[in-house]
Amino acid sequence: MPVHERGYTHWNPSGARVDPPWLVIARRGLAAPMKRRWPLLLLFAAWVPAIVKGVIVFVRAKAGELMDLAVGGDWTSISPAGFLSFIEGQRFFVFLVTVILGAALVAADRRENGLSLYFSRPISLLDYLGGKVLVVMAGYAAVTLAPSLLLCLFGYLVEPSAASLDLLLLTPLRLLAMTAFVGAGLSLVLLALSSMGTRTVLVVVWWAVLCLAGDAIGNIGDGIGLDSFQYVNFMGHWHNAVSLIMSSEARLPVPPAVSLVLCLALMAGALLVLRNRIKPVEVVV
Amino acid sequence: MNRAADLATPPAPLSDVLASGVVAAATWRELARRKRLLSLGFLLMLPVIMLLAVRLWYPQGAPPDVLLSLLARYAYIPFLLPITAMAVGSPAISEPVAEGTLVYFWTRPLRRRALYLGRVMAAGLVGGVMVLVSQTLVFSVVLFGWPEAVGLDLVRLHVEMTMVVLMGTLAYTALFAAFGAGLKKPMVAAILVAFGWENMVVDIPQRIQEWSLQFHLRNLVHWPDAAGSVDVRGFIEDLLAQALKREPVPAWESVAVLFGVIVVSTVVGVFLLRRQQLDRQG
Amino acid sequence: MIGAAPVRLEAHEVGKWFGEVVAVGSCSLQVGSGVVGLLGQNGAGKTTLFKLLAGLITPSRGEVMLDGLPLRDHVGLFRRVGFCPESDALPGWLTGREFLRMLVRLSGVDGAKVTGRVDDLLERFSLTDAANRRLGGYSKGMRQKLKLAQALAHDPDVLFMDEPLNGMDPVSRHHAIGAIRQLGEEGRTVLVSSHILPEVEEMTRRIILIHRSKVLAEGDVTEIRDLIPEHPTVVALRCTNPRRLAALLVQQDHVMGVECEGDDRVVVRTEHALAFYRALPGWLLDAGLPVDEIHTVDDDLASVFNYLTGD
Repeated sequence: MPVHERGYTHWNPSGARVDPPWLVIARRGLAAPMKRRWPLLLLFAAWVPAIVKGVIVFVRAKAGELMDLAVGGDWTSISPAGFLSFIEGQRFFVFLVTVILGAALVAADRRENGLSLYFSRPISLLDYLGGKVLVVMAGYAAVTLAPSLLLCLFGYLVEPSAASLDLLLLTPLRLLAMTAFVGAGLSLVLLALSSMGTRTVLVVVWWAVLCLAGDAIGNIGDGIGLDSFQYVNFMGHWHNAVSLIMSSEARLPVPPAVSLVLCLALMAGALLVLRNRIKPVEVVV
Repeated sequence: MNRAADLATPPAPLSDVLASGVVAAATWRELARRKRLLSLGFLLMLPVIMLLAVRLWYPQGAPPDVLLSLLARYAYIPFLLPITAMAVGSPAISEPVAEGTLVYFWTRPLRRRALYLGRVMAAGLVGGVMVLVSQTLVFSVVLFGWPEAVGLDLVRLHVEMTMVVLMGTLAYTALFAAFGAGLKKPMVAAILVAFGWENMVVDIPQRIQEWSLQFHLRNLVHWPDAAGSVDVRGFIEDLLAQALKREPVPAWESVAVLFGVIVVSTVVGVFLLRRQQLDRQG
Repeated sequence: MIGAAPVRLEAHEVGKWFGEVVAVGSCSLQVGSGVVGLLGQNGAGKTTLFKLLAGLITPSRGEVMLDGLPLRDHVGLFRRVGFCPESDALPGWLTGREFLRMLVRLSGVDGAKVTGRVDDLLERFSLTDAANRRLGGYSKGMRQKLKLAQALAHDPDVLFMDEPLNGMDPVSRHHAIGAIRQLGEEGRTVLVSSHILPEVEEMTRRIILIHRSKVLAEGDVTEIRDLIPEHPTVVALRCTNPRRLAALLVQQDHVMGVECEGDDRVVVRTEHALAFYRALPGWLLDAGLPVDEIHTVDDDLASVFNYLTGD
């Protein structure tokens, strides 16, 4: 039996509790970038839209419908659809945070021959992937779920009427389900891209294409009256797929079910790529 | 046998032209053999594919001049040009530093500016050629797909767009190469500028928008009226734009800004390279 | 000064610190022609000092001069300098021939002579067969040879070699050591940085020893050894009448202690090895005592290194 496929018995003489490997990998993946100041500044910048929205929610609660005239649109609403619009608006920060946290996650391990180090420990592929996915999901949640949950609470505190009990119960659950699905999907696709090489330049380029080009192509399609261009809107499909969870209208001129199937297919494809690319063999650079 | 070197006169470094030429040739060879050029090539074919799709399935959708300008406004200028520069310009200096191969150039008798110019010139050339090919193919699709619409105005639009994308590629390449010479994470800075700052600032009325390369690139093209009516901004922004309307910026000013960015970025990049410490190399 | 005149490389009170960490304290050196070994443990500051001398990093204080000129400010001086880095990072997308051509051309070799020079180098370092293969496919040993080849491409007077024998097989190692010694004998200044003492000992007896960011010793190993009073030099002599020899030596100046070992060996401890060696032939002649073999047990590099660093 090849050495790298042997099952190891974890030696634990002291009997002390040992953290699961995926948690160790996730913690390490998050701790490294957080030691520097600029990722924290970036996170703060990502929260600015949430602060702005919070101010609008507060003023709206006090000033009533007058605010609707001045600042219209879903983005300022604290309904589930409003939160989906808000999260859509965080697209740039999602791109930035995920690429900073995730672009080099697998590529660096392949470049530095870290995979053989990882898999010479009693770590399964699931542990490794789980830890890495958690790193990217944590970043995604920090700029989408976290500010949204706080806005829910803030919205409830500003207007604690019966209808806003949703803000404390149902909406947070929807947000959790939504960000879990989208976060996991984006993480898997990004990690699959990262596993395709040993340098992050291409990963950044392709992630930029996926996250940001869809809008550009969609705008071109809008300009000529062609809805079908929206089929290549990568980020749009994820939000379209979860529009049902958030009781929102479809985000693209594409049925949400179709988007859901596409997203699941992407996740399956990403898992296949990762299964193929992550092996405990030495990558000679 | 004892060697007696002529120690009296310090030897001169290589001429900048020769040195940068040799460095550029090696950089060109490097780029031509890297996988990222294939990916970039595919990306730059997207506008061609889109145009072909429109021609095949929706030829009456919009006139070709509107199509060209939409591609320039939403695909090339805000997206493909910065991406091209990120792929070839940002790693021009940062990659040999990170990989540990800069030491071989560093211990040669060539001025740092020749090394920098060689690397960046090759990157700019490669990026420019690729973008040019993409633009040419786009126009070829228009030429063959809508032959009846080809006229002087369309040719003029195409020429303007070609100049704009070339200048844009060079400007972004020079800027991102300077990032690569001075920053540990040049790609992050490039992303923040290209997709953060540029997109945020370009639609703010008045002087602020002139602090973006996108504005000046757009300013150099005579947009057909239909393209200008594709408005994805909100009500308040429209109101502000109306209230704060002013005289258009002359084209020469935009050209000067773009050249200025190229020159200043190059000067700063050379300065940063000179200060480089190869303590992680060798 | 270490090495023969003239002085090529000088460091005047050179120091380097990174934030609060002092990598190299104040060092002053003069290096002439010949092979000189730069030795030090990991973390001693050897690599930093090496990079300061080679112009790869700027000193925080002091100056490094090559032929009387600051190296970092006069890039033309690199026409006279060859550098062999420790890292085996090479541009993997170029072939060996392309890599050498580029660097030979950038070293100032005339365009018409580049091809011939490259072919010579490839043959000299047994890389002709792999010349058209991409560097990404080279083995560690081949990379090391290529690094040496590019360092020697333009026939430099001054060579900086950082761990030059890394990854080489024993035969190549032997050839490389011979080649480095030859370069020193030709009058070039060759500074070799290494932590593998037996290899350095095969190349040279002249060393610069750095320990805890400071130059601890510089010069010939034997001379340095002689200056370490806490560790008397141990000299072993082999003869047929060890007791008589021991009785003779114990009375002499410079001898601290004498022991007989076995039937034919006398071990002497002396504070001043050079003076002892100068006087020894006279004593033996006067006493009519033949000696079959004399050698110093601990003036090898490893012993000197251990005595000086206290490890």
